[in-house]
Amino acid sequence: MKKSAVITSLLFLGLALGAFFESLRLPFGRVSAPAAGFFPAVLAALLAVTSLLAFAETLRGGGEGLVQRDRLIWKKILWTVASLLAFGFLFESLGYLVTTFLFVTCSLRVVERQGWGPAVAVGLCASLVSYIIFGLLLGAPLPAGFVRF
Amino acid sequence: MSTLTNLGLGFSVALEPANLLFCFIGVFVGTFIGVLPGLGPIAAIALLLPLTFKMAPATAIIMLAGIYYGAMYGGSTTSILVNIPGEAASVVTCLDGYQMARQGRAGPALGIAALGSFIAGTFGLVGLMFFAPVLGAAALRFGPPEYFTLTFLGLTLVSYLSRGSMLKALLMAIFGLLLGTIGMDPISGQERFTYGSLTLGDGLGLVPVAMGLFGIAEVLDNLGKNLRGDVYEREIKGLLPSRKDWKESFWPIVRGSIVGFFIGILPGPSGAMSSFASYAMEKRLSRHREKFGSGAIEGVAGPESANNAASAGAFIPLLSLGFPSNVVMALLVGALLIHGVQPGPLFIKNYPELFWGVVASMYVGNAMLLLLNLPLIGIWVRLLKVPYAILYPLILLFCLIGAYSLNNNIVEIFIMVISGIIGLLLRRGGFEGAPFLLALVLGPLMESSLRQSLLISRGSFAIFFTRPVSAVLMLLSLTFLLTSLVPALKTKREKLAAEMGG
Repeated sequence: MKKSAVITSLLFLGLALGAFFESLRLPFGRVSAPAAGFFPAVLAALLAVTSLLAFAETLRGGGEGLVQRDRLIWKKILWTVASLLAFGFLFESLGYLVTTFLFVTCSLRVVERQGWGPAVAVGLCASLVSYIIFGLLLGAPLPAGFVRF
Repeated sequence: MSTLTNLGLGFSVALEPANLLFCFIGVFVGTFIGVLPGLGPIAAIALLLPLTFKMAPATAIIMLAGIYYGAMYGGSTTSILVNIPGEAASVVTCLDGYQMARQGRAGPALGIAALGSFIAGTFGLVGLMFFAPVLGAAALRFGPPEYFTLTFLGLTLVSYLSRGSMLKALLMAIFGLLLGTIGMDPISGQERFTYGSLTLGDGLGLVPVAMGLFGIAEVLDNLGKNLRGDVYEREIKGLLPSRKDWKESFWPIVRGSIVGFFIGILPGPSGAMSSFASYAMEKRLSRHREKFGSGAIEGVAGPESANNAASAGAFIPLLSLGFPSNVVMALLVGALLIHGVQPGPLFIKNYPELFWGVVASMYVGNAMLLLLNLPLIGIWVRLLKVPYAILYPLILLFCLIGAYSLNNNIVEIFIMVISGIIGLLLRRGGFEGAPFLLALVLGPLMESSLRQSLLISRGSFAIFFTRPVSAVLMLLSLTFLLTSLVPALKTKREKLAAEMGG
């Protein structure tokens, strides 16, 4: 927990420095007439200072604000993130019905180790019911993919 | 026009069939979301926001507002029956509500929570009706310095009340402001940090980021955990509280309504804050303090009333100043802007049907919730028995649909997923999402008001201290910042923030 706070503070510091140098490429103006780069540059500098202070606070105090949480189950998280990204890549080409069915079924079967029967049944129901709600009743424009109605 | 005439106009809008239907959908979905652990009103509003694009502005806001106060109602059900709060504002209800359920008094606990919420919600609306126009009229005299100090105070207060380290909360607020600069410069129109992306040209979308930080991150954090708890299985009887219950709950409801309403106006997590404040007050005033924590009905009636009054109070800065005091209100600002409606001091004058229509719909919505919640408790109990392993793919699916249908843009899905991963890592490191998201929304207003103030004052920061309203707001902000540095006061702040539950 403390380790993740230290790493996050350092990542913020890196981000702040990057943002600061990027904002210098924008016109800064003057304090009496600030231009487009003024606000981001000031914020990036402030972010650098606060991330350094947060880094020091974590090292010194060792975990103020760190709530003891359960351990993460990284295997499940990685599978879920992978399926979310796959959904994004396949959504427009495969279409709404197929992608949602695959997403829910895979989440239940692969991540949660449910049996094929319940996984396919829930996947089918979720795909059809959500299509009826979002696509037909609420009129959300959903990609048809290769399954055309 | 008098308030009553305005209210008549509001009811003529709220009682239109389409508005009634979407008010019902809003409160129903809100209650449903409030009951489900692991998905709060923020994710629900973000999810349904794209679906309101084709609606009239009043219908859209009526539905989204319904989700917000519906979730406040629904959150109490899980607190009482499962000892798991549906959302932050219901944390304190677990203390006595669940104990009442264990003693076979789940019915009166649920009943007083619903009735107290109804009474307090109605009280909050009366306050909203009278305070919002007054504040709106006063805000007409606000200039850039006042708006800058108002946003500064909002972010300071949200950071001050965040769980854990205020430094980390401030860091998150600055990070949110920085990401808020992505897109077009509000004054010169120059593109910043877009790197040729058309999606980023309009700025980093609030909705995919909110769904990522509060929806996806929450689900990823909960994967593999048992969120079911022990659902109260026995038959729930006697939902209507007895005469004795009413006697014990009357003053807690009254006090909760007043305290909750005023806390609701303040920036910050007003729902959680008001319920904790009410609980602490009732415990202090009670003649039998020892009963608190072991099933005192006052411990349910007060906080549940307070968080509903707070949800009405939170609309005041939004509708009169155009200033969102919490993340839900920030999403509503987004919804208003999408419909071409500019919230701010002229809002009530320019859009009377919208303002009074939304206010009237809240009366209708509160009545619907009362009628809806008591008979539907059985369904909510059954819903709580569905394993989380089945529920979360559906929650994720709704988030994916919501992110995509915002602009029919696949990039928004990736922004949401990346925000979810970042959100998960940040919450593990003790960095809170709320200051970040509020800053992301307030960033453009803060920047333009700061730059305009500096232009007016020719670069002098004294402008923030020489105008009365701005000076008061600035001094308040600095007081909060400085008190977090004084060791003795710092400990007090941490205690308070820990009680608020973030």
